[in-house]
Amino acid sequence: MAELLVILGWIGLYAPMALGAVGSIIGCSIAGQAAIGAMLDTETGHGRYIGVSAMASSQVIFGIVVMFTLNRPVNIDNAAGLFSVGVLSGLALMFSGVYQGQCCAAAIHASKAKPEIFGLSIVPAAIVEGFAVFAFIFALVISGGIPKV
Amino acid sequence: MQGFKYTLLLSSLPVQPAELFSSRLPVISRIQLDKRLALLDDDDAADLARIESLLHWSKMQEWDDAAIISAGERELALIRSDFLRDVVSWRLELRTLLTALRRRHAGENITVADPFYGFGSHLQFIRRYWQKPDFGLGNTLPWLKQAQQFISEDHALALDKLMLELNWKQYERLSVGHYFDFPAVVLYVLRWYLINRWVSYDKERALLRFNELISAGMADVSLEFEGKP
Repeated sequence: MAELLVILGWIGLYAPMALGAVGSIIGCSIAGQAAIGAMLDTETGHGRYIGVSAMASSQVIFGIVVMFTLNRPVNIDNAAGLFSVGVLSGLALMFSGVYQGQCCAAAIHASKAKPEIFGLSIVPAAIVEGFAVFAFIFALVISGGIPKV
Repeated sequence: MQGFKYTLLLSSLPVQPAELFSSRLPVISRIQLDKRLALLDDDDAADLARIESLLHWSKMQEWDDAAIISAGERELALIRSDFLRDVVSWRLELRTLLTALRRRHAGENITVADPFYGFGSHLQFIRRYWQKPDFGLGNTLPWLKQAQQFISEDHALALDKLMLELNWKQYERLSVGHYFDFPAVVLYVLRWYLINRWVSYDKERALLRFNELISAGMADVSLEFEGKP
């Protein structure tokens, strides 16, 4: 049981980084495809399409920060806390990355047809980013209560 | 991730107009569209080809009714998605009803015992209520009465516009929730056909084509007085 707990603790330690990376990979690839498609159909505004397509990369950065904040020697006392905070914050970051990528793809597609709505069209992606920031900040806050030794 | 399978393909296609009849030119040429459709995977490309062969006259074989229906039903069953099968069936049903209206206008009389080839669930109604203007389907298909009126008054253009509009609105309804997936690609292509058809309506070109057909048809006809002194 003790060994299993320690394994879970290590999973929790790396989960925010790994799951955040998965979210960013999927999100950026969806939005990136939309950006490349839009470039085939338009003559200008390519830079902003690529810029929007990279929005979902923040999740992996949040994940790295949470991982370093959680980083400590894993033992029976802190393993459950590390697992819970790490996995749950990682899942939140992963889903936010995937769905932010979808929002960015929709924004690129819409602003291609109607460039004047570009600013407004990225608002849903920014809102999703806001939820990722919530998950990130409160993972940092709550990790303060996990025993270090 | 199936919902975003064709993000690149669909983002590379120009946006189609909200109103069909405001179109003056297709937003993309068929050559360019085919280049983009090369991004479809093999199974999806086969499904799209199947759908196009079922719905577009230029890709159909000249068989009799029974052969067309049985080949059509076979092809329809091969389409993998229920959603897309329904899209095609709806259009084929609409054509079946239009055919019935036209045949009745041409003076044909069909009874319950006669065969009537077509697609969909309305064949019984068509045979049973042949003499009713809307085949007893006016409440469920309100456009039938209008179509019947246009046919009886020989308003071919108005009838064609009604059909194009019905199809356009149906595809518009069905595209809700499909933005970057395979059904979105199919609906884009089907709407491209509608736009292409609408923008090809040109009185002068039609007259020119009519004259060409007449000349081709008359080429081998020699009038009786020709060659006589």
